Amino acid sequence: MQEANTARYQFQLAYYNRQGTLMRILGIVTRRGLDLPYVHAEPCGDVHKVTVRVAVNPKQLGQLCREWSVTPDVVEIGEPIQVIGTWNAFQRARSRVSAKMRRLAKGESPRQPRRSALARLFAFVPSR
Amino acid sequence: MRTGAEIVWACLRAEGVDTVFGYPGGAVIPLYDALHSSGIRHILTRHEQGAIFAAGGYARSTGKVGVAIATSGPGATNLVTGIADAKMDSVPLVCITGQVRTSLIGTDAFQETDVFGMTLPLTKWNRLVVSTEEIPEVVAEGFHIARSGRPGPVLLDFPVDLLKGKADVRIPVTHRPKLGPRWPNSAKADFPAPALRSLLLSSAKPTALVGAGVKLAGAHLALQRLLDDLQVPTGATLHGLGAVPEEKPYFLGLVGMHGSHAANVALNEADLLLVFGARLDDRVTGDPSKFAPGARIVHLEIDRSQMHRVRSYELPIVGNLADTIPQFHEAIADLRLPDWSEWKKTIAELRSGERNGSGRALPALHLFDELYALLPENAIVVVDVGQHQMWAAQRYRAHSPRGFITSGGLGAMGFALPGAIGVQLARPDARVVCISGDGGIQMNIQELATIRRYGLAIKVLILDNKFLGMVRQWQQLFYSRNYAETDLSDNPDFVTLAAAYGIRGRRIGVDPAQANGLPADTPDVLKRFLDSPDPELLVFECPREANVFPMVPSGAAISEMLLEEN
Ligand SMILES: Cc1ncc(C[n+]2csc(CCOP(=O)(O)OP(=O)(O)O)c2C)c(N)n1
Repeated sequence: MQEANTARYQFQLAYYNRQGTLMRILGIVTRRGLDLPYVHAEPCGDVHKVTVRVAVNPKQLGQLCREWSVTPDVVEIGEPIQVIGTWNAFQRARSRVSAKMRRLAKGESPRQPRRSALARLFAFVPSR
Repeated sequence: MRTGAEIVWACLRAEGVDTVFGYPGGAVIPLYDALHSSGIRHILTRHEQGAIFAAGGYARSTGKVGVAIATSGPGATNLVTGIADAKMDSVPLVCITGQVRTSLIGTDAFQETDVFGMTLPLTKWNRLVVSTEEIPEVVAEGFHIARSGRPGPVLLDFPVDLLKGKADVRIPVTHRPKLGPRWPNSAKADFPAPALRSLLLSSAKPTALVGAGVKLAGAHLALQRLLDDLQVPTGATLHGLGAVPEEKPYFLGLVGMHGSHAANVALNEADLLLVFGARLDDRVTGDPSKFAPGARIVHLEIDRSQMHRVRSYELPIVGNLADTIPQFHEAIADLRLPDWSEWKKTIAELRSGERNGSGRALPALHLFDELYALLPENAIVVVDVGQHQMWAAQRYRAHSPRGFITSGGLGAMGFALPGAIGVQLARPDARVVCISGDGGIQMNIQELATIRRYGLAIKVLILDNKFLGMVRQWQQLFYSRNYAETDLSDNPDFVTLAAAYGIRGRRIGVDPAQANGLPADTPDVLKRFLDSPDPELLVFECPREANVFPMVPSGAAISEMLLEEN
């Protein structure tokens, strides 16, 4: 049962696949008692990428992104994309985020997330 | 060619380590075998929890990385509380554990535990070492991560065969570790000066809150200069104590659950909150949904994962406070600040009208006043967890920014005694006072043997109320006085116990005939206690049902604080 106030999101993260990094990424979700209905990890050039789908409330959405952003070996966090429908209905979401992943796969250096919607989850952007 | 064990010690030396705290066992015998030629001092505690808390005390009092060593299995599991404590309180630690030999890993071998898996969520980073050759790189990366950004604990797990194996390696490693968390670099161009200025200009009731981050960044003097210019009402979290001297007219003392009335009112009624290196955890905010309801929040913090905990902040400023506080100051240098005198007067009146303690707690509060008045400049108090901790914090008079040390985030009873050992070894010139309750002292009392072994002149003050006092207080106030399993009236005689460890002890009680509730010779007793060159133990027989006030009941808003016993 999905709790009221939550929405389904797809997150994609690029990370260096060293001992425990994937577990740390997932642990940040599971420590909040959230189910993980979908996880897919695969190599992507020099790095790995993991796709995580999870139902979160607005507070958790920010918490996850911020905690991932200070996790060693996590090099990029794509913009979280809200998905309407079932856990499988993620076609649009995947193609949008994967452009970023393709850039990484080409060996371009990872960079900080752009100052966009994501930035509000981080810093320097007045939200009122 | 060197053995893995010799490589570990050489790497520690290369990182500037002079002291480690540990406890041996089968999987780390090779390390201990190579200790004598390491040039590093090893402190043998009497429990691994003692070792890691001591390493924590060492790190907290100096800012250097503390090192704790334990064997596989039970040795490693005994470190876990100390690792969690270090994670919560941003303490740089490197823990070294032995592991069963590589070929046995995963077979449930004798004394095998998955300490790597167990400590994943508690460490900033950890690693099960897989070859002798990689040791220098792993140790260098571990130290780098432990000290960088927001400091924290790292665990390195060494299978015993890799400690015995040999390799030809270069130490120190010449290349910088390639990874680590992406800590912000506080670039000047990013500082949101216009937004900050407009928030200040439109504010009528600004309040500042000071947390541990200020001290960790070594930014306390820069902050004092800024606050001297701003002169806004200022409170401190438990770990922020000491960053702003008590004498500053704008300083209101501790905030939060047992904070001063004035400090909590200033937080609650502020229309602008300037938060310097504090996480705004629930002990500070009370019910987060009712916290500072009218305030816009400017939050300076190094760890972006701590942002927006309470709600979405108007101005989060992520960066090292050693950079961002001066940037803040520069941003307002030419600003004509609004007239905040009415607000400052209101809060100052509250502060001066605050009761100087009340009820059964008075003798304990006065004992702290007497103690702090006698402490030299270089004193460091290391405080355990419970009522005595809150009294110690409420009455604390800052001596130095790293002068008040306690387990704040985890609130781990048993921290103070071993913690004080680490502090005293790191700061041999300092007067170190361990303050504990009768419950907490018995969680690591075996470390009196360590004090004795190394001849440390630590002063141990026990507030003996023969209760798990803080829990009893909650039972009294919120559970109809059902004192279930908090009575410790069968405590041992601590003075006799200290004597068994070769440590002199004495006892003082209360004297109801005296205005402050303490025997007339208390100052003399305290002076002798502090001045002797030996370890000393002093038991204060605390009124049994003394309570800590003010108090914000758990889950209530800070505006709903109970000021005193009714
Ligand atoms: C390891 C641990 N176990 C349990 C607790 C819960 N706890 C918090 S304060 C407290 C009572 C402490 O009693 P004591 O050491 O006698 O100090 P007092 O409160 O009486 O000053 C307890 C049991 C804790 N903080 N840490």
